[in-house]
Order: sequence, then structure tokens, then C-alpha cells
Amino acid sequence: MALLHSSLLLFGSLAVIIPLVLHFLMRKQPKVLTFPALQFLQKTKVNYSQRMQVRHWLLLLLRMLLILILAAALARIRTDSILWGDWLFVGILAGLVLVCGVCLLLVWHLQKIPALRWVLLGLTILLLGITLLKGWETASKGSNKLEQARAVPVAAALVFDTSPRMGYQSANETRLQRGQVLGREILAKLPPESAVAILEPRDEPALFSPDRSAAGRTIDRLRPYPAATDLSLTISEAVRALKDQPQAVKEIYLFSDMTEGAWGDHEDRFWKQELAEEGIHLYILDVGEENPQDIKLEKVELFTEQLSQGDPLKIQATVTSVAKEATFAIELYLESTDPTYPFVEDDLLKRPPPVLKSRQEITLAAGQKKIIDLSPVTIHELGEHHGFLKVTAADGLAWDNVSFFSFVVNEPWPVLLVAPDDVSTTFMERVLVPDSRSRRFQTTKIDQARLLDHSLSAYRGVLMVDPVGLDETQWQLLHDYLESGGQVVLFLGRNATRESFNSPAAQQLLPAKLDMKRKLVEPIYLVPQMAEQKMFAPLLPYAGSFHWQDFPVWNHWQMVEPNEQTRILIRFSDGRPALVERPVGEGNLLLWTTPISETNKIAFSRRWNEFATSLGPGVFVLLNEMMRYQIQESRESLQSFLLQPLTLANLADKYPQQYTHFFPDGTTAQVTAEEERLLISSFDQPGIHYLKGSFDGPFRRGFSLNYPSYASNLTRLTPEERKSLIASDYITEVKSVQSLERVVDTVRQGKEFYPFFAGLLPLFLALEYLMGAFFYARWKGVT
Amino acid sequence: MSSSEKYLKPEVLNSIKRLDLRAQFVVKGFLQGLHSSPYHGFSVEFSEHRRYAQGDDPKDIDWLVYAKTDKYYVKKFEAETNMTGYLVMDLSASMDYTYEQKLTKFDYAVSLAAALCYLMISQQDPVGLVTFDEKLKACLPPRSKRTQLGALLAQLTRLKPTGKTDIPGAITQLAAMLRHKSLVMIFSDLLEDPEKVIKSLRQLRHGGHDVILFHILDAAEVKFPFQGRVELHDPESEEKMEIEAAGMQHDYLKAIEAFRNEYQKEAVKSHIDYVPLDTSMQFDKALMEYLLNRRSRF
Repeated sequence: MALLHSSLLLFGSLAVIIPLVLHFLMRKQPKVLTFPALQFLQKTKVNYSQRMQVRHWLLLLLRMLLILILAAALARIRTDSILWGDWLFVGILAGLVLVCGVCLLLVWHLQKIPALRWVLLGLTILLLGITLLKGWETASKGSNKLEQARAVPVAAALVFDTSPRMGYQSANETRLQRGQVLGREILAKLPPESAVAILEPRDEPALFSPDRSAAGRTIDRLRPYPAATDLSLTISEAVRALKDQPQAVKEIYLFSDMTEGAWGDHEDRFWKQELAEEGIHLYILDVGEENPQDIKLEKVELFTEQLSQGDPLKIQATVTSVAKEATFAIELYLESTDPTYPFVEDDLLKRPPPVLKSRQEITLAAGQKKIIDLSPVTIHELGEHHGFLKVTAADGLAWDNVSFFSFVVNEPWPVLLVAPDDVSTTFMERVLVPDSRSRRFQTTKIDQARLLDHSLSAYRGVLMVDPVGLDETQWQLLHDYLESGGQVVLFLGRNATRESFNSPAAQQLLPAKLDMKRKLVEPIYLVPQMAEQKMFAPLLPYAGSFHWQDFPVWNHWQMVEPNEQTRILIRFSDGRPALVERPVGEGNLLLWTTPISETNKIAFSRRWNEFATSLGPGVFVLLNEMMRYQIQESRESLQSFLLQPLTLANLADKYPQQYTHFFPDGTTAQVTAEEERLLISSFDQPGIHYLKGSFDGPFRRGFSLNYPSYASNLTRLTPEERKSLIASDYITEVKSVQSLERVVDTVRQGKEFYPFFAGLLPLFLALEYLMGAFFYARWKGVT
Repeated sequence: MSSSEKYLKPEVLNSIKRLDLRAQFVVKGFLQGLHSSPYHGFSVEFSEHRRYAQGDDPKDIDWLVYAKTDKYYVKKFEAETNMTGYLVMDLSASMDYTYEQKLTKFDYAVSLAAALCYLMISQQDPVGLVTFDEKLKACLPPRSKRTQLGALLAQLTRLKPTGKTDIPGAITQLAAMLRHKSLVMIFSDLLEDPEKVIKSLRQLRHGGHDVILFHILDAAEVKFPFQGRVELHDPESEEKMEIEAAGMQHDYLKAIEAFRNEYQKEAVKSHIDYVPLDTSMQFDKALMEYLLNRRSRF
């Protein structure tokens, strides 16, 4: 049956104990009187007591009934079906007839007050008459209820899933278009004067209006919304808005493809409870595809977004085929770097023309996922580059066939190599510039004694190899450099002293204090956890080929009292830290507890480690990646996902301060830099966004936004998940408008009991007054 | 305050005066009526003649006077001897009860008794007093002197109604005690088992005594005017009862009516004069009404 405010009814029902409690609590102390003729009372006392008890119970019963009626009226009891409700109504009437009849019999036998007898007799006959009439009417005219129910105005919220998945196309229409057709059909069938609200998964309030043509136009305007939120939130908003609607019948129609991505966690489905509490019915119209076929670019990763001139662009793409065997090509396009693009001509946006850079044929079995390393493309042109990967397959969902990316080609990064005169930096120089063709770093080597003579701001990074103790001025120089965004790498060795490195000036930037030099008999070695450090992520595929035992370590500095921001990046095999990191201001400091300057010139027995002398590639590659990451990747990314905020540095001496933002769909907006930064937030259009300004001529920047990978998840809810989702009397899943009509007709024929109970209330109040007056002898001659 | 002042107050005396005048006639008639049946023809003294009027008994016509005057005269007689009256007072604790009335039942009875005593003495009828509770108590022998009224009232003032009562026992005792046929006027609330009381009254009546039963109840005992929850306490039996007054009123009134009716029926059967009174009635008026009513019966 029923929707009822169970808590209110329960509370109201519990209130029937109030008369009982009052009956016992409000008993007054009797007045004591002398009365000699007691013998006449004693004779009649037994009769009297019995009669008084009956009167007590009668009045109590009446009052409890009164409270129950009041509770039932306030609880707004209603049934799902008018027919059901009518029979229940007849049942309640019959119950009341019974109660009145019993009261009448008792009063008739025990009292001689015609007024009450006749009132009760009249009431009983009236109720009996109504009961018989209603029973006859219910039995004979049940079929007309449907027509009546269809005429009662309702409050309906039509919720359309407008997530990008709903753009999936089959049979020449998208899922959303299918939903829009169904929505318009339902809109047309709603009873006259119904209030309608159209909702989609945006953070917007639901507005109800009786204007159905406006609602129809709103449905027509719906388009897939890239930043659609969880459907649970939208349904919650619909429930919240429906609560305030005066109509007795409240309905939500949801048009969704019923995929995993549409629904949040089970914990978020608090609206299910609200549906039951508010008596709102949710009808789910599944417009999804039973077996969707889709080829999608699930994940596209650039090895680095910061390339050096002449470096190859390496891209790895994860491609998945959903329920379809397919052969297709992945094409790599780069858009023109001409800064005059984009522009508007004849009201049309002219975007930089894309140039196909590579193409690769792929065959995937149904359900197969493949990681593809695209052929590297060498880029010589300096500056920002934007492009996209495209899968040439034709499938239901087009937008997940494209993925956008941005990267920068830089000049070689200037790095300052600082070491005492007698310390070898050969190995580190080889790490930074492996051969003459490499243009990633440009190194300058100086003696540590001349550190103060150099302006560090000209260098992207400073490497200090086995430094001797620095004085306070030198520490301050490094600190200022770090604060302004510089990157410093320290390799501690035999020259380090605790006095200098533990001084307050040094501790402003060092990750921890130096304890003791540790000399080991049995060597230890590095244990890099590559999967845990983003820095070493590119090495992860080759992790098994490195033999870290080939790089034994016999000596290293021990660290104590680490700074609270200190993070251990690599440990030795005994668990002690080998490489630690501390962010200082805008910059970052890396500290190795063992040096890389132990060359063959140092006697084997005196060497701290075999990093520079071992033949294996391990440490060489590790340091190379460390430097690449430390110097290059510390720069901001030009890629993001929809709705995720993006901040771009915009130095006043290098960039324009005002830009025109060209969105992928052709719209434009003005953007102004604040505090040398551009804050890009809440963008909901995937693609390449260009920022065009003027700085000694046309100047262009850009960034790319992509859907998060889960947005294209077309996996349907499992039968178990579906069952769990619709496991409520107030949720019904239907496939067509016809079947929906049948369900809605059944549900809508609910019956409201409020008017009945509200009408009964004064009647019983009057009866209670009569009984009370009679009981307490308010009338003269009542007894 | 002397007993005369207490029971014969100026305002009461006013009423008594009127009562006296009327009652004198009435009482004479009443006593004559009483006497006429058993002593007719020999125990009366000629008083005067008066013209025959319609309605007079023809046998009272003095034929000698008719012979002399040719007019009808009837002879009027005056009683030569009067009946001895006994005022029998109930001294039970229940008689000392009043609810919102000036007089307790006992005071009311004394007032009635005083009036009757006054009337009887004023026509030289001897009046005595008998009081009882569980048994007969103070007795004042019958006298017809004027001082008897003062002595009788003084005696009654000294008495305080307390304790339990045994009405049937006391009446039975009284019946055994009285040797001559007397007029016994009983003043009581009769709150006892009516069956036993009636049995004792029959005994009294069997002794040839003329019995007038003044059944005096408090107005509250007749009307039961209480409201709400009350705890009633019987001063004699010390019993208590908690009731909802309004609910019990109906039954109580029925019971008290039945109680009075029972005495009424028995009174008719045994030729006892039963006078139901309550303390809200003015005793002089009540008495007068009764006496007039009684006269009409003789």
C-alpha cells in the first residue's frame, strides 16, 4: 500500500497514551465530607462502579480514537491505488460503525440520557449508510477511477542524463535524442495543469512551471554536457524541489543509459530514502544500448611535456575496443604553430590547420585493450605545440576517438655544476650531456670557491658535487635561489662537514641534519621504488633490467632531525635514505647522502661507492631521469581534464597580460593575468584552447583539455547492481512509454485520506464533548 | 443562652405564636379527634351550644333546645381528660449532622418537639420526654404544668447526640415501659435497618399507643447535592467511601425514596402517622401542614 509519513503516524499513535497518562495523573484528591446516610450508597456502589468504569472506558476510547484520527490526518495517509484506497476507506468506515455501535449499546443499556443515545444512534446510522453507499460505489464503479486519476494534475521532474556518454549514436540517433523523444511523449501525456521541471546533471536548481511548451523547448535544447555531474545529485535536487510542490502525485522521470559511470557510489543514494519518505515515484527509462560498440582512446601519455630541441616526441596511447573487433589507424596530428591562428573570419573560427605527423595501423579483438607506443616524431621548432591523437574507427561514441595534448620544445637548460677544484665532475657531465647531439642541458662548471661570483638566476639548476663546507653567505645565496624557483642537487661526500651543513643557515634549505659518516664492511646498494615516484615513471618499463647490486655503496652520510617537509625518494638496501627532497620556496632541493665523484683515480679501498666506476647503466639513467624531471618537469603542465583548474605562469617581461581565449567551439572570452599568473578554471569544453595576445607582435599560448577516462565508460550496470538500484517500492524501471503508462496509471491512482480524517475530526470532537459533558455532569440533570 | 431562648427565638416565637393560635385550635381539634373515638359519650364535658350548620353531625343536635326554641342547635363538648404525650428523641451521632443548613437534625427535632410541647401544655396535656441512643436514656415524666416546657428544653439542651444508636431496641424498650395508652411522638432520622425499626414500631402500635413518626433527614441526605469526587464519612459506623458524587446521585435518590416509601407503606398499614421532613423545610410550617392534614383525617 501506502505512502505515509510513518514517523509522524507512529508518533501520533503513541500520543494515544496521553489520555491514559492524564487519566492517572490528573486524578484529584477527593473532598472529605461527613455523611450519615452512607448505607444507601453502599447498596448501589457495585452497580455504580461498573457503570463508571464503562463510562471511563467509553470516554477514554473516544479520546484515543480522536488522537488516532488526528494523527492519521496529519500523517497525510494515502494509498497507491484509488481502488485500494476506496476499500480501505470502506474498511475504516465499517470500523467506525462498529465502534459507534458498541458505544450505543453500552449507553443504551447503562444510561437514561436520551440526548447521547440519539446522537450515537444517529451517528451510527449515518456512518452505516455512508459505508454501504461507499461499498456499493466502490464495487460497481471501480473502472472509472482510471479516468479520474488521469485528470489529477501532478508535479513531474524530467531528469535527462546529458553526460557525454549519452552522445552514443545508434540507429541514427544518440541516446540523449532517444531520451528527448520519450520525454516529449511523456510531457504530452501529463494531466492538464501539471507542474513540470526539466533537469540535467548540472549544478542548477529545479524550477517547476505549468508551461508545457516551455518545458518542451527546454528538452529540445538539451545537449551532451561534458562536465555532467553524478545523477544521484540531480535526483536529490529533483526530490528537494518536489517536496515543495502542492500536488498530491509527485513523479520523477529519468532518462539514462544506465551505465556504471552515471551513478555514484551506493553510499550516495540517500535519495532513495527520501523518495519513500516524500511519496515520490521515480520512473527510470533506460535509453542505453544493450551492447555498445566503441573504440576509445582511453589514456594518452606524453613521456615528457618539456622537450629539448631535437628531442623526439614520444607518446603512449591505451586503446580499447568495447565489444567490437576492429582494424583502424591511430593518427598523430600537430596543429600549426603560426601565432596568427586562431582568428575569426566571416564569423567562422579559423583554427590552426592540423598536420598529420604519424599514422599507425592497429587491430583489436573485441574487448581487447592495447598500449601503443607511437612512432617518435622529432620536433625542431621551439615553443608550445598542440596536437591530438585520433582513432579512425567509426563507432557509436565519436568524442572518445580523439585525445588532445600540448607540450613545449625548449632550448637546452643551463645547469651550473659546482665542485671543489679537486673533485671530479666528469661522470655528472656525462650524465647531463651524454653525447654531442644531446641538447637537453648546457652545463657550466665552476670551482666552489667562485660560487659567489656567479649569478645563479641565469641557470635552471645548480648541482653541487661533494662540496666542502659553505659559509653563511653561500648558504644564503642558495636559499634565495631556491626561493625564486631554482632547483638544487647536492651530492654529499668526503668534503662535507657537520659544522657547516648543520649550521642554521644551511638548515634553512637542507632536508635534515648530518649525523655521522657511515662506513660499511658489507656494501649496501640503492633500492629505487620506481612505481612510487613520478620522477622515475619513465624507467618503470625497464625496471627489471637494472642491477643495483652493481653499484655498491660503502660510505654515506647519515641524516637526523629531518625537516617536516622532507621526503625520502630513494633508500639504500638497509632502509636508510639515499636521496631526500625538500621543497624550499618555489624551488626544490635534492640531497644525495653519497657522492657521484668517486672515479677510478681514487683508490678502491677509499671509494665511497661505485656509482661513477661501475659499467652498468643503472645510476647513469637514474641520474639522467632525476635531472630531467627536476629541471624540466617542474614546469607547469599545459594539459588537464575538464573542470580541473589550471594555472599558467605569465611573467610580465615574457608574456602579454591580456588574452583572447578561443574555446574549441569557436566562442571567445577575455582573460587577464593577475599577479603574473593565468588562472584557468571551470572549463567544460574538451579540445585545444588558445590564448591569443600581443607582445612585440602576435603571441599565442594554449593548453589542452580532455575528458577523464571514466567519462566514456559505456559498461552497463550489472543485473545485480540494477536490482540494488531499483530495490524500492518507489522506483520502477521501464523500457517504453506504453509500459510506463500502465505503471503510472496504477501508481497515480493513489487516494489521499487527509480530507476524510479532517472531516471526521470535528464529528468526533463533538461526540467527545457530549460524552465529556455527560461524564462530568456539565449539564444540569445529566444524571 | 437558656434553652427557651435557643429553641424559641423571637423570630421562631412569632411563627409559634401564629402556630399557637392556629395550633391551639388545631391541637384541641386534633386531641378531640383523637379522643372522640374511644371516649365518645362519657368522657367529655358540655361546653356550649351553637347553631346547626350544614355538615354537622345530626346526632349532635340538642333536641331539648329544639323543643324549646324550635331551632337546631348542636352541643359542643370539651375533653375532660387528655392523652399523655411522649416526645421520643434519637440521640445518635447522625442526628448531629447538617450540610449547609442552620439546624442540625437534632436541633430541628428539638424545635419541633418544643413547639409540640408548647401546644400540648397550653391545653393541659401532660408531656414527657424520652431520649435514646443504643438504649433509653434520660426520661422526663409527663407533666402538664407550664414549667414542664422549660424543664423539657433544659433537659434537651444538656444532651449531645453522640455515638451509635439502636432504634428498634429503644422503641421496644419504650413499648414495654409505657403502661397507659399514650401519644408517642418519635423524632429520628431512622438510619437503621427499616425492617427492624418497623417491627418495633408495630410492637408499640400493638400496645395501643398512638404513634407519630417524625422522620427527620438533613436536606443533603434528601437531595444529595454533592459534586465531583468526594470521600464520605459515616460518623456512626466510621465507614468511608470515595465516590464520583454526580454519578451516584441518581442511585442515591432512588434509594432514599425507596427508604421513605417503605416507612410510608408501613405507616399506612399500621395506622402510624409518618411525617417525612428535611431540615430545609421550615419546621413550624411543616408541623402546621401535618397537623392540618391529620385533622382532616379525623
